[in-house]
Amino acid sequence: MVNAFFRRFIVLVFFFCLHGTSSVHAQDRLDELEQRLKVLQEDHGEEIDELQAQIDELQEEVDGLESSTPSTWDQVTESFSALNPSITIFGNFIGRLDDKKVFNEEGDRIDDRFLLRETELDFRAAISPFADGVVTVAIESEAPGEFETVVEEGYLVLKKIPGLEKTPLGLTVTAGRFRSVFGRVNRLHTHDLPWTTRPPSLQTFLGEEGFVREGVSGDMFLPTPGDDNSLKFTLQVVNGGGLPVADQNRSNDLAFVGRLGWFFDLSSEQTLEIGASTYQGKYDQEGSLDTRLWGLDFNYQWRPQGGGSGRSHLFGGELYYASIDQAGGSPRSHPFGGFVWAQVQLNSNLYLGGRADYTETLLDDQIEQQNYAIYLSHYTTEFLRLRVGYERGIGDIKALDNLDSFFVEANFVFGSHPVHPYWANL
Amino acid sequence: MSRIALNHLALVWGGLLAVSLSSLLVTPSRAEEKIEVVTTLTVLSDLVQSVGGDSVHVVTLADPSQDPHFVQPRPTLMKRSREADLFVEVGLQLELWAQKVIDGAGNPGILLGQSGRVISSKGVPTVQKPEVLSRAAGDIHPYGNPHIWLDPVRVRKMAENIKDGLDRVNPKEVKRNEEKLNALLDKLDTALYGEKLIKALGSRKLNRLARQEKLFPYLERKELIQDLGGWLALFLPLRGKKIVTYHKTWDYLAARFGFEIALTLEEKPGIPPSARHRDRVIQTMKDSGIKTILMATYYDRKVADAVAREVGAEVITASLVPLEGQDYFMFLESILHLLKESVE
Repeated sequence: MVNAFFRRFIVLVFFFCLHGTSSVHAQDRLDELEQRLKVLQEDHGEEIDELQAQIDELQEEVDGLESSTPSTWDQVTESFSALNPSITIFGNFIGRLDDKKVFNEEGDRIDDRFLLRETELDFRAAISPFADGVVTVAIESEAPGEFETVVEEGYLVLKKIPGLEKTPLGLTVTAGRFRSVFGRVNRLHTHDLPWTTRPPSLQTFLGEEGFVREGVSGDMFLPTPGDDNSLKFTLQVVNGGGLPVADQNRSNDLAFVGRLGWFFDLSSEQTLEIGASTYQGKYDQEGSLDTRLWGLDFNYQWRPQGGGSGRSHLFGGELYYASIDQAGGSPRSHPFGGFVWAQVQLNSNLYLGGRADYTETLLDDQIEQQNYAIYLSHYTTEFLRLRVGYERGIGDIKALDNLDSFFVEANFVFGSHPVHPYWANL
Repeated sequence: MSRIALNHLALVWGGLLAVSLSSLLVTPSRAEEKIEVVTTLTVLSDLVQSVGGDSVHVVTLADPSQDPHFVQPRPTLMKRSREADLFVEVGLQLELWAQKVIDGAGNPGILLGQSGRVISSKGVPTVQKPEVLSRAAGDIHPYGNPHIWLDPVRVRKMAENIKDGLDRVNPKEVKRNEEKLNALLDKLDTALYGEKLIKALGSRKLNRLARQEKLFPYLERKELIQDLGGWLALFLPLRGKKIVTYHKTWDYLAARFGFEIALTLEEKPGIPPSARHRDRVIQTMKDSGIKTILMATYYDRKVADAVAREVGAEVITASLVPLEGQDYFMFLESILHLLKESVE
C-alpha cells in the first residue's frame, strides 16, 4: 500500500517536473523570440520607415508629374488654345425713355428704345518676349437690329526698344489704331464708362465715340523727385482729321497729340492726377487752316481703408478749349466746354454719382448747351454691372433743350479678366 | 505731307530722343549697388529680405491693409517698378493688377519669362482647383487657392523660388543667398516643429510628412506627440476646432494647424452672401456651436457682425500679410494667437 502510494507520488513528481521544465523552456523560447523581434525592429524599423518615406517621396514626384503633365485629351485641347490670345467679350445693353425725339450724328432717331448698343471682342496676347498685340472689334448698334462692325483698336506695344538693353525713361512705343491719350475719359471704351453716355462736351470736341486714330505713340516717365508721384509724358503722331475740331481734314496731314499727366499719392488713401493735353493739326481739306485743341483734366480719389474696402469717393473733370481757323478770313472760333463729376461708393457693390456738363458749339461759341446726369451702378461682380440713370439737357439747341432721358443699362463680360483703367471701376 | 509738318515731326521726335538719352545721365546712381527688388505683397518682401539680406533693397507695391486681389495699378507703382532688377509676385492669378503695373513700367527685364521675374508660387501645390472653369462658380482662381503663404511649409518653396531669382540677377551672391536661405528654412522648421522633434526625426522627414498631411498620424503612431514643439505644440488647442471665415482665405492655415473651416460667409468666391446663405451659416454655427468668424481686415464687417450677434460669436479680423514692423514669424504667430484666444 505504502509502496503503491510512494510510486504514484514519484510518478506525479516526475511528471510535474517534466511539465515544469518544458513550460519554462517554452517561456524562455518565447522570451528569446520576442527579444530577437525587438532587436530586428530596432535594427530595421528606421530602415522600414526610410523605405516608406522614399516610397512616399516618389509618390509625391509622380503626383507632381501627373498634375503637371497633361493627359492626351488635355494635350489635344490645349494644343488648340496654347498660343491663342486672351479673349474677353463685352456686351452693353441699354434702354432709354425720352420726352422728346432724339437724333444721333447721322440723323437717326435714337429715343425710346432698347439697344444692344455694343458688343466688343477684345483679343490680346504676347507677340514676342517684348511686344504685345491688342485688337478690339466693336459691333455697334444705334437702331434695333442694325449693326456696324468696326475695329475700335488694333495696335502693337513695344515694351523694349530694339538694340537697347534698358529703355530710357521706361519708353514704350505703340503703333496702330488706338484711342488717343487726349484727356482721361477719351481712352475709355463704352463698357468702361462711369455713365451711360459720353459727356456731351467730349462728344462736341472729340466725337460721339471719342477720338480714335491710326498712328504712333510713345510714352515715358519724366524724372520727378520722390516715389509718391510720377510724371508721364505721351506723344502721339496720328493721321489728321477724325475728330470734330478737325472734321474736314484728310489723313494726309499728320496731327500731334501730347499729354502730360502728373499723378500723386497724397496718402495711402488718396490720389490726385492732373493732366494737360493738346491736339495740333489742320482743320480743312487742303491743310491750310490750323486747328488747336487744349485740355485739362483732374481726378481725385479717396478710398478709406479702415472698416472694409467697399468705400471710395471720386471727383474729376475735364476742360476743353479750341482755336479753329475759319475759311475766308473769318475770325477764329474759340469754343469752350467741359464737365465735372463725382461718385460715391455706397458699399462694395453700389456706386452713386452725378455729372454736370457745359459745352459751346464748335463754330459758334454763343450757342451753349448744358447737361446734368445722375446714376446708380450696381456691380454684382466685375463681370456684371447694372445701372439706372437720368439726364436732363438745357440750352440753346432746340432739340436738346428741356430734354429728359431715363436710362437702364446692363453690362456683361465673359472670358478672361477684363482689362480696364485703374481708376474707372472698383 | 507738308515740309513744315515734317520739320515739326522731326523736331518733336528729336526732342523726345534727347530727353530719353539725357535721362540716362541724370538718373541717380543706385545706392550702394544693391539689387532693386519690387514685390507685390509685404510677405514677399520679408522673404526677399531674409534671403537677400543687405544685398537687396526691397519695395512693396500693395499696402498691407489692401485686398491683394484688387490693388489699383497706379502710375506711381509703375514708376517704382521701372528700375527693378527683380519683380516678385505670388502668381496663381492673385495679383492680376501686377501685369498692368509691369506693362506700364517700361522695364523689359521684369517681363514674363525674363530673368527678373519671379512667380513665387511655382511648384507649390495648391488646393481647391476648380474642376469646371465657369464664372457661375464665382470669381474663381483657375490654378487653385492662391493664399499659399499662410502655410509655413509651402513658404519654404516660395523662399527657394525667390532665392533662384536673386541668384539669376546677382550671380556673385549665390553662396551667400544659399546660406541665408538655409538659415531661413531652419528658422521656419524650428518655429513650426520645435528643436526636440527636429532632433528626433530631422526636418527633411518632418516637412515631407507635413506636405503629405501625414505628420500627426505619424507622430501619434510613434508616440512622439510629446516631442512636438514650436507653433504646432503651442497651437495644439486649435486642432479639431471649427470656425467660419468670410472668404476662402485661411484654408492653408487651417489645414496646417488642424482647425476646420465649416463654412464661408461668401456663398461663392467674390459674391457677397445672400440672405438665404446667411441664414444657412447662422444655422450651421448654432448647430455646431461655432463661436468664431475669421476675416481679413479689408472686408466689410457688417455681415459678419450681424451673423455674430445672432449666434453669440466673435468676429476676429487679421491682416493677410505682415504689417509694418512684423516679419513672417510675428505675422503668422499673431493670427494664430488671435484664433487660439477666440476658440478657447
